[in-house]
Amino acid sequence: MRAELGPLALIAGYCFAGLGVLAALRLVRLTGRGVAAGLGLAFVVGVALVSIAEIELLVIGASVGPATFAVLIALFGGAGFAVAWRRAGSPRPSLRRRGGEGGGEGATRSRQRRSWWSRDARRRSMRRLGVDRWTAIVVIGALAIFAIVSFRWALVQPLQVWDSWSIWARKGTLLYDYGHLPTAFFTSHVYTFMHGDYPLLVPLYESSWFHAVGSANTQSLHVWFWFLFAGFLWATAYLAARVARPIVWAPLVGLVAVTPAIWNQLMTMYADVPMGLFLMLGVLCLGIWLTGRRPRDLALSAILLAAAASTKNEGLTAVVSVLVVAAVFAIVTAPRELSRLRALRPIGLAIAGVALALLPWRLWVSAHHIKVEIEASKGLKPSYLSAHSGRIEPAFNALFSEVANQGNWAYLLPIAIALLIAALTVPRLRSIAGFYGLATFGAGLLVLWAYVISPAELNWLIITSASRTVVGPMMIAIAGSFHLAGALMRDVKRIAPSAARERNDRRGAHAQAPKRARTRRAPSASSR
Amino acid sequence: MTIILQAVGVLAAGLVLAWLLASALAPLQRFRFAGVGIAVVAIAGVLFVVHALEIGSGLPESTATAAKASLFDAEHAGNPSANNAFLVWARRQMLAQSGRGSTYYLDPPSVLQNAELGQWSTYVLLPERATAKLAEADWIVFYEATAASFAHVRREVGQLIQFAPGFAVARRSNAR
Repeated sequence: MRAELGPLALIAGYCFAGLGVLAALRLVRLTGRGVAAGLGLAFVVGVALVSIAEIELLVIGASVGPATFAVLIALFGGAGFAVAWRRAGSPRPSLRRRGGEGGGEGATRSRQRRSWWSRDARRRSMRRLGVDRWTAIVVIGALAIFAIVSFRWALVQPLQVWDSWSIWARKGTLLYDYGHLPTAFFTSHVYTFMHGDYPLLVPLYESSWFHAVGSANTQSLHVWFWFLFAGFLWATAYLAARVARPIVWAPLVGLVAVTPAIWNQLMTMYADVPMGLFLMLGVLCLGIWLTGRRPRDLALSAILLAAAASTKNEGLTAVVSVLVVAAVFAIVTAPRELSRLRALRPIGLAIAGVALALLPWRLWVSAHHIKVEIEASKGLKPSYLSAHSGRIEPAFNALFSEVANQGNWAYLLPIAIALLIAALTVPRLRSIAGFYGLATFGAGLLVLWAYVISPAELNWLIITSASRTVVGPMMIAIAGSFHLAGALMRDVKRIAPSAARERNDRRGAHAQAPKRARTRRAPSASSR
Repeated sequence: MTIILQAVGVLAAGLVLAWLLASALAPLQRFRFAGVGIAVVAIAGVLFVVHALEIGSGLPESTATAAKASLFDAEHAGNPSANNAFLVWARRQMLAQSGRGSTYYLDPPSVLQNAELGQWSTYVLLPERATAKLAEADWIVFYEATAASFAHVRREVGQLIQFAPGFAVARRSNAR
């Protein structure tokens, strides 16, 4: 009985905590439909918040188990809902496509709403809704079938792949067995192979599952990762719906779900893809914040980015890249009436928040002299870098061949590049396209830097890790694809047959006019 | 280079689509790059179907195969060639007599030096902790030990509890 009820209680707990925080941030409507739509994001946010809090507790020597979990979810969920209900009297903001590209969008929407009851407008809207809705229904239906088949598969999979048991499930089992951080394991040189410096989010996530099912049952762990992935896809759809229409986000969500590099790697039970899932959602939120400047989007982004950096060291480098680029864009694209300092304040607070969430673990690692795989300080010395410069080319080639492997990455990179180029040609999208492009590039550069400065033998490093370390930059690029495709497709709609006829007639008349008479040009995209 | 060509292909497809659909969809006539969005949606849709079928078609067979394995085999699939029955037994022995958190020394030391067997053994023997030095251990876990190996540590141990020839655990006489 516990094997069934435990996981349900666990999932409900994470959802409750996440939902409370999302409600407090006014990022989810507390209606049946609103909660249902935001449940995936609530689960992911719940996992992020509770795990980060548990890491801090472990670091100060507290024990972490079902009781701590219950207290934390009550704290996050309870406090969140209390704040939300206190605010219930104040008007609720609409979440639909807020923070899109350009401040005029809200006004356009309200004009559209006002004209909703006119027959023509309604017919047009219904027709447009039709294609969008059908696309979403078909993709979600197909994903539901895939989810059922893959759930049955995940139920019986053994834990086979080396690092999954040697690093991640080992730490998960330790946390489950001891309930606190067993320092002796992390400091012992016998256990150097388990990389004591790696952050603890995945082991904590696994140990929470072990507590829920009542034993360190590694076979059922795949189901637990399946839930994380399902929550991520749900959350992606929820967030992407703010910047893209269903006809845009639904096929992209579907593609991300079945991209071999994501699905296959996730089911190895390594931490790279879970890190990428948090990272992608965090970057998408950051992109939404950059276009709309609503603090709540930035707060959510900070939570998710902190979770990404608490999952894997590669997550930390990706988060650094993303936040630095966001800070630059926050200044460059700030409204003129804002001083640089004031423009920097929100992102500065977010960076401080993320740093504060990560600092305790880093301090603990440092205080216990736990061997760190790559020493960043060394990698900043010009002499060290120059001595390792011979590693740049082979490392670059190996990483590039990974992202160019379309059998694994399902053309997601060429898609992202094409969208980036297209968006850069549109003035209103130039800054957001620049953000995603530079953040991806920066994260990729930091991965390359890590390969260059690593003391490990390069060939071995490439063979064992290149397919995984590219996950971070790729997930940033994918976040950008959602946002940019949505922005490019924002106003695309069918032309009514009568209007098309009229236009064709005009075009016919126009073609007959002498060429020199054509002085007026159609407005360019830049004037939109 | 291939990636750039692929990206250019997506861009070109988008512009061609914009040209073809300009009379049916607004604002493609004046905003051609919106066609790139349409191309991306179309490509994503096709790739979704292709990969869903590709991954999905292999899952039922894999499920059927994995379902046949026992829970013990599934939990020890990381290294099926190790003597997992012994490792589980040794873990239970140590837990029953010393409780959680005791330390052990794997004998012969070559077990720990073998990356796969060493890491796997220390994983199955959790929550007990391996030590590199005999003097720091509460227990000695003999894994394929020879008679010489047993003799070597004979004066260090109390009672030897044997699982099978060469496989045994022994509590050190001065264990805590």
